[in-house]
Amino acid sequence: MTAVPLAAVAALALALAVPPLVGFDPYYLYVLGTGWLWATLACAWGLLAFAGQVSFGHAAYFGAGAYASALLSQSAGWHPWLALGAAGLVGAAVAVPMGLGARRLGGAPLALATFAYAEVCRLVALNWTALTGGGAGLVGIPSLPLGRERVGHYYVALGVLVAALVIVAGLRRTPVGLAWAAIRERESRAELLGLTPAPYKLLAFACSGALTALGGALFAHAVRYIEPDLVFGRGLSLLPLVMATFGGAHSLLGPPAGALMLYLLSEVVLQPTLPRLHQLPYAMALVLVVLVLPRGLAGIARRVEGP
Amino acid sequence: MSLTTLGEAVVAGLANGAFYAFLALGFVAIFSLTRALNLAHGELVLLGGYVGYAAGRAWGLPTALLVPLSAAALVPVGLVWRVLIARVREPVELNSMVLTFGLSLLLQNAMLGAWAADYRLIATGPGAVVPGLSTARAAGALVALVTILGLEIVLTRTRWGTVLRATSRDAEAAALLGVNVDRVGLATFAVAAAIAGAGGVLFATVHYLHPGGGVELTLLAITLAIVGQLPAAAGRRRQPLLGLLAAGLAVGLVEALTLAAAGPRWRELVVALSLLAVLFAAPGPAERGAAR
Amino acid sequence: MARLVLDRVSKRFGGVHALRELTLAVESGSLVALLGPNGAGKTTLFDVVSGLVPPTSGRVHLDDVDITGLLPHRLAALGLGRTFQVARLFPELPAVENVLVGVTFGRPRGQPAAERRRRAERLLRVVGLEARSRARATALSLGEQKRLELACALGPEPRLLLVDELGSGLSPRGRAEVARCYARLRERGVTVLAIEHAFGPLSEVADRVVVLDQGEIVADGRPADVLASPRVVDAYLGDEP
Repeated sequence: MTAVPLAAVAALALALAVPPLVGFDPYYLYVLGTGWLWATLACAWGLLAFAGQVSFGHAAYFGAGAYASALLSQSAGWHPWLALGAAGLVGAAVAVPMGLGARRLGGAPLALATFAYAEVCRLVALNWTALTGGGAGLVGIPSLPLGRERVGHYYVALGVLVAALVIVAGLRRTPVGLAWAAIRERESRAELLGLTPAPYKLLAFACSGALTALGGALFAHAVRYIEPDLVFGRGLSLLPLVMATFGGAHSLLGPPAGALMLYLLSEVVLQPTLPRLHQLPYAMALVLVVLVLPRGLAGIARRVEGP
Repeated sequence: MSLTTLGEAVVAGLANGAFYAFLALGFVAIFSLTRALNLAHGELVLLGGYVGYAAGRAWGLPTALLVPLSAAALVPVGLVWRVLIARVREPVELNSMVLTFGLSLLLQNAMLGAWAADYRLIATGPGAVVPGLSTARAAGALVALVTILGLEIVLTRTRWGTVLRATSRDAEAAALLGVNVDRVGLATFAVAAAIAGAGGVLFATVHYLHPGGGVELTLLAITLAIVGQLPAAAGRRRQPLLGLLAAGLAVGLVEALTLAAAGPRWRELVVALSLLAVLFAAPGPAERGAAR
Repeated sequence: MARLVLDRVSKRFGGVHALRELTLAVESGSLVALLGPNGAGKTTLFDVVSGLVPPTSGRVHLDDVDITGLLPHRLAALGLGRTFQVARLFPELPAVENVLVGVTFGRPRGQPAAERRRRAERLLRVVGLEARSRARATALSLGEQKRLELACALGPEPRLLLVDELGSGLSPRGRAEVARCYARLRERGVTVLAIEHAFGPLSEVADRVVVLDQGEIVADGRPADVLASPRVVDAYLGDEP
């Protein structure tokens, strides 16, 4: 994907900032806000994929962020914004073991490890009742001080998404981004050319984990109730994966675009009309990606663009 | 821990272990033939259990009949899996994981929809073969041993087994030698699904069924598949399934002893952690080869 | 600019004796052609020198450093570069970024982005690919990919470069381009050991020709002398010279 004119992006961001001001229906604000959140999660997953690492366990970071922010703001009395920031750091920390593991494993074995790791995190949250409240979860999580809730959450989620995209776009232009791309494309050759992959893989995991955890924290403060199966559930590992790969895992705008398309299709089109089939878009996207469209929508765009 | 408890734990552990190896057969069969990693394995086993449970409730059939019934019922599912997985592109390991991950969630939701989140059990008669080893567990272990040993014989001593092993090693070469690779594939997936179905029923006589319980079974199968391969990696390739059995027995034993010592709460965690341990502990080149 | 010395290097793969007590010195700054029929052991020699495969016996020296059995990335840090017969590029990255990887992470470090970019573009010019700098590696022709492979290997500014069949499988025009590449390499003063199957692309510029057959050196000298030798013709019997 070639550089999208900055002006167009800025215009889009401004346009998206308008709906709440014009008095959109709160339900649609809620849906869009959730859409921004999923787009952020897909972006985070895509960042790791850009560095050539495939994760089947992003739920670990989402849940870690949710619990961290909830516990810090609720039990430790931290200000919610502070707790949110700390949650990001917790997410990075939780991602470190996997980032270190990427030194030894790659491809399918690493994916399996992340899968098992997410399950470990879920079980720890489930069984460490003293800390996490176990299966009963945490209730009454303080919300972010945002004035009008729906509107506030809309802007926060949008803000996080835009910030994430800007940061990721920036990173991709630096030597770090080049290292990630080289590792993804052919790690062995990159090593021969003088690149040590390990620290870059670790960095990718940490960034991806931090951003995902931030999403988890936002979720916790918006919904105000979390439990292990909710925030450590496998859906949270699968959906960002499907969304990102559907949009085009290695592109910048592919993952958020894929996320928005699939989520809005599911929530706005199917849920009201055919609720039993509301998971269909994800299932179809998955089948499409695996069997037909390995590069997702971005791949189609590129074929149209030419080589 | 008294000696009696220890003894009981060992017996139960070995019985469970044999059964775990049996449960993992379906996963291993699919991986050996196609290199596909079926992350929906656990859900398929549960499905077998649920089908058996439903049939038992609806028609009042004895448990012994439910086993083959469920096995047969899952064969069409296995064929569907075959069709989908055969179309997965390279790298097969990763892409099959993506596909089956999605399928596993679809299955989980389907089971949730059909049977809700309640815990269900297929009732069997009371009684124990030996103290600490219920009839149900013993039956499961027996079926497991018979099946594994039987399959081992088929694999190593029959023509069909040779065909299967050849196709696993190099499908193209086998095809050039006149093997109908498609038929081998269909048969393998059908058998794998049937075993999963049978295993599910036996599983449900001893453990509670609930839709979310598939992950643990999948993690266990993967762990056993990796550990079971180690003797093969060391050069002793002649008894592939016995390696799996040995791995199962080892895991069952460790689990039973941990259970006796520390109680049931952390059991699932131990399963997940052991997969992590196995992935990171296994010798490097095997991973690297599959990964790059 | 480095001197490569192989001292009685042997390599056996089970029953196959790929290299037999090979002793060879490549002088600093020279361009040496390594020829020989299929299976002569040329690529095995490269694999041993570049650390992909340890020798069964013998030592390898780069200047006064014993590099026998060192791992590839250690050798890269010491200034050894290598191309592969089947190009190992970064498929989806544009040509210039392919080269940029070696430039950015190779030996000379810490240069500003603009300077690195310029160096990458310059290397593309060396191999005649400046017009295709934005094209994705997969979009390049076979000949272009091989030349990009060379540009990539030059990124870390190696002192010794092992070039593996840069000119094979190409059209006459492709081979002419490759000949130009070799000439420019010569100008840069890099020590080059180049495998070619056909001598054509190297004929103008090689200082010396070494011919391998069944793991042994059967000829070593100036191009004109070697190619006229009956032993060499014999080795190639059945192959296109």
